[in-house]
Amino acid sequence: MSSTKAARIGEEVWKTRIDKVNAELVTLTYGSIVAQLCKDFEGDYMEVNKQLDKMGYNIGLRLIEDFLAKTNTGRCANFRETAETISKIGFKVFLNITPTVTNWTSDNKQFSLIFDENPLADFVELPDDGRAQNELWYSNILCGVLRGALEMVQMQVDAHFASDVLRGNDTTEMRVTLIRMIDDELPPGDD
Amino acid sequence: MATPHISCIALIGKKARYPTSLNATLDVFSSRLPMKTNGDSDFGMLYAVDDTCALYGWLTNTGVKIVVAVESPVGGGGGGGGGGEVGVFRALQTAYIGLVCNPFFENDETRPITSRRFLAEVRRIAETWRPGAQAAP
Repeated sequence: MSSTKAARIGEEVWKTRIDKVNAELVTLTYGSIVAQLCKDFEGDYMEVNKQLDKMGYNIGLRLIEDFLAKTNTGRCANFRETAETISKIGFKVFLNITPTVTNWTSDNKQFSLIFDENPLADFVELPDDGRAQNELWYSNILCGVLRGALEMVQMQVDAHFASDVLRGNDTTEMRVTLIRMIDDELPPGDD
Repeated sequence: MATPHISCIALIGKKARYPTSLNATLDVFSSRLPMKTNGDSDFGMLYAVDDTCALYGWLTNTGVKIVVAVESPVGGGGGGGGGGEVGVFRALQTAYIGLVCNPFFENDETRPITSRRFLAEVRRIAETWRPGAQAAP
């Protein structure tokens, strides 16, 4: 599937099959979750990152079903196609953004998503405690969502943020790496 | 500076105790409030400090007061704003919304606001304002 075809499907599904909610509601809800985690873990931002990733993972496991049903997309032929589908269809229908897919490694197993806009991070200014700017990945839930969703379609990936405009970086970049394809395992005791 | 300009901007929360001459404007807010029937936030000129400086006021529905001091060397009772203050207040209110919507912001009205982004934005609004002009968005 080409990039333009993915973009067309994303646009079409977004317009016709997606229930919309108010953006501030999403932004403020997510913000209060992150802020509460920071309080609960008393500023242990590493742990907050981990929790956000875990929450995202559990969302991804479920969200993929909804995604496949709404978009009617079939199996991707390769990881490059997966990347385009994530950006142009996945992010498009759930957040109405299309992060740029770039920085491929030569083995086609690693790419970056560059977020020009990030609805989760609107209004956000990280705590000025000298640590949050270096330790907290505010939108880390997105990494977990990708990891969980891709695991359900036989791809084990690592996803992590490499930079974030909230930290003062020029761009917000997520690095996604394909670790392995998960072989369909036969159900136990069924041979 | 030859033209009227903003020399000071203050945001005052409901519970704040403000230890300066701005206290005088707070009385104007409360004395005019019963007469405000149209739900308008704009309180216009509150108080002329002297020939060169006038204070303008704005009150949000949550009770946050915004006071802007306009300095105008031309004189004339300090009324040199020429109606451009509304734009400033709207810009300041937008900046304030951005501040309170930050999930890490603790709305403690008894302490000064420390957000760097907000303070930079307020400074920008003050410095780019010109009399009669709509404030930059």
